[in-house]
Amino acid sequence: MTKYVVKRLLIMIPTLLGVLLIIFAINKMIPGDPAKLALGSNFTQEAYEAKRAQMGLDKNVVIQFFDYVKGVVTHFDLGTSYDTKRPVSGMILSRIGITLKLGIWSCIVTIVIGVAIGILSAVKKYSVIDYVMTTLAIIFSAAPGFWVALMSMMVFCLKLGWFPAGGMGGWRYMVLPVLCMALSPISLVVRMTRTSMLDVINQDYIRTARAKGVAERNVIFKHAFRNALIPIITVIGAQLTMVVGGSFIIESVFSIPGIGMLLLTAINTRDYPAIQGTVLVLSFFVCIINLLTDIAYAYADPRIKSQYVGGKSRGLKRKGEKQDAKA
Amino acid sequence: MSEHLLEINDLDVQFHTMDGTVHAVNGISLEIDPGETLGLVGETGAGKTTTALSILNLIQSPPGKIEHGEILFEGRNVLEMSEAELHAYRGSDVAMIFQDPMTALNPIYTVEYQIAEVIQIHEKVSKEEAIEKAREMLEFVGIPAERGCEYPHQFSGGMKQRVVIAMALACSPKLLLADEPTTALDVTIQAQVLDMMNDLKKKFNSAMLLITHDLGVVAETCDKVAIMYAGKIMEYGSLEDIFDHTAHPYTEGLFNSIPSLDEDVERLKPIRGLMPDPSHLPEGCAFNPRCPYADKLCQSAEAELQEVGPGHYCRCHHVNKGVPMYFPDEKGNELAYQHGLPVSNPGNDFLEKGQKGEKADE
Repeated sequence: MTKYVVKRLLIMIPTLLGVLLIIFAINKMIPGDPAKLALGSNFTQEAYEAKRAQMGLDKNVVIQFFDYVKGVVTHFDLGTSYDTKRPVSGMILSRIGITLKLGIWSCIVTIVIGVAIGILSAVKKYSVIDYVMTTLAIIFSAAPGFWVALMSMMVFCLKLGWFPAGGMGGWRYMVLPVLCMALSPISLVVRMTRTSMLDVINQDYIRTARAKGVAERNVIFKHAFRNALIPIITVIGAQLTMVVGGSFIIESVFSIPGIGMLLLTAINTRDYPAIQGTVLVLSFFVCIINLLTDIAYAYADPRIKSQYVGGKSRGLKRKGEKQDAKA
Repeated sequence: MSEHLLEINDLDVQFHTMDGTVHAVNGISLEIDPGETLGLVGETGAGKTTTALSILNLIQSPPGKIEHGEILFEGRNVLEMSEAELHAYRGSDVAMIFQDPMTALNPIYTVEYQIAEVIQIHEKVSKEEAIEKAREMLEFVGIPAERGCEYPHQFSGGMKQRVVIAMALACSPKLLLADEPTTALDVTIQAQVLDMMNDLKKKFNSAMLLITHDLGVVAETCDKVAIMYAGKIMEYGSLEDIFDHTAHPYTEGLFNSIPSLDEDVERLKPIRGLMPDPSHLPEGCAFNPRCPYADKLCQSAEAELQEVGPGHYCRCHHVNKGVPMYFPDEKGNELAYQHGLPVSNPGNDFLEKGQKGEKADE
């Protein structure tokens, strides 16, 4: 298992380099000149040339890329922001806490609420609760995040005045952003949990468990839920990467100074080092979430775990299971 | 009354589905005494598994519903037990061996854990003791104890079936419901599993309800046999009654469809037609569309279970009326006509052809 994790961590390096290459290329292709933006409207040709040299934009693009990568790899230097003239790594570090807090809380809310409602819907299938919950889940998975954010702001901040409309502070500032961020993932997790649980509950081994005299609560949680986990983990994993990537929408709507806001400002001011740095950090988190998802698979299903461990145990090389592990 | 270990009286199970009501079990009555093996024989869809699941009160509801009847286990009605009583009853008083070992085991738990679970529920033992006993059970069924920590996907089909059997026997149940325990296995393993079940049954002195469609298995293991068709018991009696004094045409048909080594025939003699759709059972005797002896009475009135010998029951209008029961080979056909058996079944083209032929001869 450790071997598998180390292997996966090593594979992350080329992935992240690829991300850097792509984002670097996109930066060079989009219109806009950071030197001109930095100088304002009135500048001489000499000043412009000097600025470009200072920013390192006068060199060959390939050399620029390798210089940047060298800085990142050798001493984790993500460059200096054109805009604030501060090191990008420092800017990211000072903001990542808020984004992580937001992300982790919405993960917890997603998993707890989503799985609980999903199981309830499955166990009480075709009841009023089930119909209400699945209908709500379909509505909320269709509603765009920014719309939900704006609507909830209108209702809960302006009309009811329960929560502040933006900024950072105590827990009251977190409630709306976390809920808005979690709403769409919750509805997906609810539907996935329900489908997956219903599928498992009809399996023969659930009947076996009942025939053994296992109490209904244990049948649901010990026998059914653990088997239903694989598809649920898949959805949660995919949704968490969306939470990380999509945090800038919620952050900008609620004016939360997180990493998403940093990325947005950086894009507006053509702040290349800041864009590259933030994207790199975000892709790092996505990679980590994917790895955690795959590790979670192994703990949920011994058949997948035996794949990771490799040919040491017996009877492992079976067709079809490799696809399961990847799915 | 309560000398029987299990007594089923007039059990009726229906499944209410979108496409109509499926009459799976229609008023069957059975008794099983301690240590006895009852074979429940019938084609696919005859309601055998439904009967076994009813004994555990495990009919999935909805859509299934036990309409009426009672199932008495040691005098207690299973259908009126509370949830807690049922949990104590399932697995310890009555255990079930399921049909398909491939899907009957939970893929995410080790086999020893799955056996230990049933021990832990019903016996006051610690987790370690339960695991210890589970490993003993594995040894009993011929699986090395050290393989207990492996998962079902690491076992072959025959071994999974042994695990399922070990699980069912773990709490020495008084009654074992074996639902086609050998159907999913290949023939060499079948014999092994049957031998093992017989040995274990003797060891634990369990009674057994053996569900099967294999009359060979019945001959080898059962004391009593019930032949089931379309949710009803057609014939019921001791092993000798059924095998040597067959009374019901359906039972006869079952025997005739077994290939024989002595006779060199080109084709087997299956029972013509298919099992009726349990949501649209035919009027009268359920077997009448396929029965070579069916007449107007069979199409209109349902036959009652009549005693044809001591402890030997048969559900047929023609039994006890001196009508010879021959399955329609050439000779039997002739005899049937000599006795003036009316042939009015329109689906019975085989006999109609014979009738026309006879008329032409006249």
